[in-house]
Amino acid sequence: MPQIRHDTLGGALGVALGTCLLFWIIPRWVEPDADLRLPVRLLPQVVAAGFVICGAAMLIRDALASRRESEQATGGFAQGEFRGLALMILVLLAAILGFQTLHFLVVAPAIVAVSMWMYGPVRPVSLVLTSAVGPVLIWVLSTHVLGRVLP
Amino acid sequence: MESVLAGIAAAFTFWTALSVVTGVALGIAIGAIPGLNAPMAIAIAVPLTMTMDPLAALGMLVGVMKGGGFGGAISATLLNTPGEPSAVATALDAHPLARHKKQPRKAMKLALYSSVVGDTCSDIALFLVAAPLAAIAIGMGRVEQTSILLASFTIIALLSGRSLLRGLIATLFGVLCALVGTIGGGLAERFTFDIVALTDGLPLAAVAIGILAVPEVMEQIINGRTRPPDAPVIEESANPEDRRVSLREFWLLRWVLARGAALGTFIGALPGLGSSVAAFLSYGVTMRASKTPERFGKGAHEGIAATESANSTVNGANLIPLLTLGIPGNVTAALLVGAFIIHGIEPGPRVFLYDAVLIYGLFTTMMLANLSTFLLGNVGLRIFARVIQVRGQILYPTVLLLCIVGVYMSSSAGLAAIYIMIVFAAIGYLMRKFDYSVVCFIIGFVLGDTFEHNLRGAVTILYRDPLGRVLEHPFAIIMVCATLVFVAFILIGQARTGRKALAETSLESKT
Repeated sequence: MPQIRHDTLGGALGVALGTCLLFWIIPRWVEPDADLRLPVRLLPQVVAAGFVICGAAMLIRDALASRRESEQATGGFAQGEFRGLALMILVLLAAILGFQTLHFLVVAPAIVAVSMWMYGPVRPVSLVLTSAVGPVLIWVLSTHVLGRVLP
Repeated sequence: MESVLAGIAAAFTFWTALSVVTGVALGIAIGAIPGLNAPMAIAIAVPLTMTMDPLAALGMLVGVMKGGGFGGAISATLLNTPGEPSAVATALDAHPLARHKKQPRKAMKLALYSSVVGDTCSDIALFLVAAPLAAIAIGMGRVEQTSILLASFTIIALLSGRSLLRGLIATLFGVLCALVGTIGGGLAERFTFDIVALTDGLPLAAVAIGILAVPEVMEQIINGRTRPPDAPVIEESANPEDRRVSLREFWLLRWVLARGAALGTFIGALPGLGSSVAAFLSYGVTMRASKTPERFGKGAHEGIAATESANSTVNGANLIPLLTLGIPGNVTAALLVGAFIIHGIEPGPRVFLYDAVLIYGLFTTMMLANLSTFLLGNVGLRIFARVIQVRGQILYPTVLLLCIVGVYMSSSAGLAAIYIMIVFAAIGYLMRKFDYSVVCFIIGFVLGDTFEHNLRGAVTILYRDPLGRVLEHPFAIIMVCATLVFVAFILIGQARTGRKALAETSLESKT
């Protein structure tokens, strides 16, 4: 299966986002207002058109690019990295849900502990100490020094 | 003159001075950690300064910026893993000097002194140039300001990334995000999707921390298992001469430092060209000017002085377009714009009229920060060098928690701000992976609102007779024409490079 080039992917996404903005998001989610000299929709439309033009240019450029150029393309995910990213985001989303119902000092140690486990093998003592001391220090700093209440 | 003296006096109050010193210490420590850098440190520090007095808050952020500049050189020297992209050039000579010649302390001190000299030079330039330029800029109208912003966007998009189109897309995306919220004093809503937290627009701290700091921390955590073990400890020579920089040694570098500072000031004053460009340019020019270029890359003192003086100078010089035109030249300056706004100050030339005491106070805190960097760097070099030994497994999860707390504290949106941070963290991660410039995005985001505001004013002025009225604004015409010429120049250059590559490929395939 041929590998999708990064510029092709980026260009296609640019065109799709621009088109979506122009024909669906802007008409639906930008309120028109006649009182202003510059229409409220004008700048979003210019930006959307910019996405379409730049995306199309990227698609064309990548189609015309030499094989060597495409081989030199950088970026992309290492093996397992995408899964790690998805897991990390899930952890953060779970943390917000946790903050809605539980105290900061309950949820924060869990975030630190999971992150430490994701980083690599960890000694239990180090895990317990870091996930307890770090959040407590941050809580004391924000609540008692800066006077900001945490969830 | 009264404002200058009042500003100096304000900077020398206990809490302001303490904030600066704390900022410098934080900046050096965070800058020394591989993967973290000054803009990330500033993004995390902005929420912490919200309850502070404006001058103390800005002083602290300036301290973080300057300390972070030097901090990057510590990991570059000891690990050959620069904390800052601009310290990559520093590593070329600082690491060989530390490892092969066994002079790590000399290498770090050379970087420290060069950094302080560069910083001080750029601060003096800022002090001398900012007020007169601001006086000129105040006379400019909306049409001129719109043309300047348009030129800035284009230049930043063209020069900040490796690809023009990706730079443009990142800038457009930044502008798009800036358009979220209510407009015209609540007359109309844009892209709020019926979410109450979005009516005031996307919170800067959530976006900045999300796109700058969290992706780096996530990457470190995700790839922790596959990362190679830390570099072995560097041995140090027993000779005391190898542990310090003599006055004679430093005096020999005076022209290198002066050249680095001049280059850094020039590059820093242009939007879009960061400290990495200044560092590599200064390194290249110094190597070419040297009678013994073969020493470069093997621990040459000139190499360290050239890069550190140039990249540090950029920090101060970047504030020239910020304070005179309200245009941030890089991410650090863009985050300072956010800090200005959070404290109710509109950055730009008018700040010299309405907040002159604060601005001269800020200039003084910059000098204080240089002095603090020099003193803390000298006294605490051993301690800061130990920061790099703190295990990533402990460090990065804690920084992640700090990011979450910082975003929560900085915004009235509460937990919704953390959702926004997560969305932008994912976007930032993908942007980094696929080489889309985060600098372009942040500057587009910070300037998008100002651009629209000025464009609205310009349209009101030009509305009835656009062609006739525009001729009354020759500066704007010159700016637009210069931008077009610049774009054409870059595009032609890229097309030539592309054609050459194509010819080489076809030649190779024939043979």
